[in-house]
Amino acid sequence: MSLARIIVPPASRGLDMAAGYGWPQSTAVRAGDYLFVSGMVAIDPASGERMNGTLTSEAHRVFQNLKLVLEGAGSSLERLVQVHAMIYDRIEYDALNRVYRQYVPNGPPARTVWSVQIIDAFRVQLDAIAIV
Amino acid sequence: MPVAREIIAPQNDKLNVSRNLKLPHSPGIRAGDFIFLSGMLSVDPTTGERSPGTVAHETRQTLSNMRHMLESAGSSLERVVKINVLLYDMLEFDNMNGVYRQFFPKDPPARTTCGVQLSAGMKVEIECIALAG
Amino acid sequence: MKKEIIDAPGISKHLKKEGIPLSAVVRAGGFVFVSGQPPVDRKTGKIPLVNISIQTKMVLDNVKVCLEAAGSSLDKVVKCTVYITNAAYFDEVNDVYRKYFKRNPPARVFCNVGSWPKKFDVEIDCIAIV
Repeated sequence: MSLARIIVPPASRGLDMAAGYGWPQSTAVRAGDYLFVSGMVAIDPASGERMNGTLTSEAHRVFQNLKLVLEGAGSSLERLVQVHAMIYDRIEYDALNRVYRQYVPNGPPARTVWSVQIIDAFRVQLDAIAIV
Repeated sequence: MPVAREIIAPQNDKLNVSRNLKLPHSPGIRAGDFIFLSGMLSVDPTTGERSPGTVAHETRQTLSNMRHMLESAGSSLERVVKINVLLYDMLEFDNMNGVYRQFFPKDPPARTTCGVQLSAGMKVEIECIALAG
Repeated sequence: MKKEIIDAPGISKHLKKEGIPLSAVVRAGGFVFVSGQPPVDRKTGKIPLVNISIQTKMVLDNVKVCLEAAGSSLDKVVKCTVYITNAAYFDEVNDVYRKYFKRNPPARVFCNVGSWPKKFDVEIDCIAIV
């Protein structure tokens, strides 16, 4: 029997990248026990407005948005299994970690940090797989 | 009933970079039928120190350590379904492949390789998703 | 629980010929994992020098072939990663991508990576359900 593929309705208007930015992506898709979350950047969850800032301010915003998305889908930060943490420059590795630790203090998910250029000059982007 | 989520740790403590360097990640997570490993850099399994070198050396060391990590969790390299290889310079693709091939001689996993900036002059980082044992 | 290697017509054979140690498509546990697909011409096995829109179309056509070979399809994709070499290509890639994922698109992440050692600018990998 095949798994169902379920588009999770966006946790808030601002986090609906398809409606807000016309991007052909769903914020989160569920299949079986897993939740696949699109790359999350620092945008206002209510208005969708870009909140570019320091790596620290953006990382806080990204985690808070990720929490909204996960909880909206019946999951949570504690149920993250894999994260790709994209940062615009490896030099911000420690700054990323300082924020990161605050949101997943115990039994953190598997992670790989990719130093890559991110859309719209954001300094950090997280994509994730979680369990529901 | 929600699926269980378990932290995976390598039997060889020296390879537990997450814990040894106090980094906010786990070596791996098992959840449902799959195991998700954190990205691995080349680490000397006797000292736990980074082991930089040529792309060939780093690929070999990283994949050996990945084998150990998966086997510690009851899985194996043969059960890997998807790999991401991060290379400091894509011009070294063939050098990486030459060694990679030896670890996946038959039925290799799906893979994407891309060029990114890695830490501290390291040249190779590898992450994977595997079937649990 | 077993892992199955799927043969993707016009894709797997070129990988084998070049000795590239990856499987284009792997199926396991109700999911399909598609390797990063560059804009390879399935007939010739070569990457032509074409603009980003045509490259994106070729990439997504290859992704479609991979998925269908495994009993899946574009509308079963749960997560895509799009790798590009130049942020300026974002809009054009999106315009093509949109045509392949018209309704209820998968989760996605877009990232700019360093150039590959061949002359192309976009690659896409994905996870889908069977």
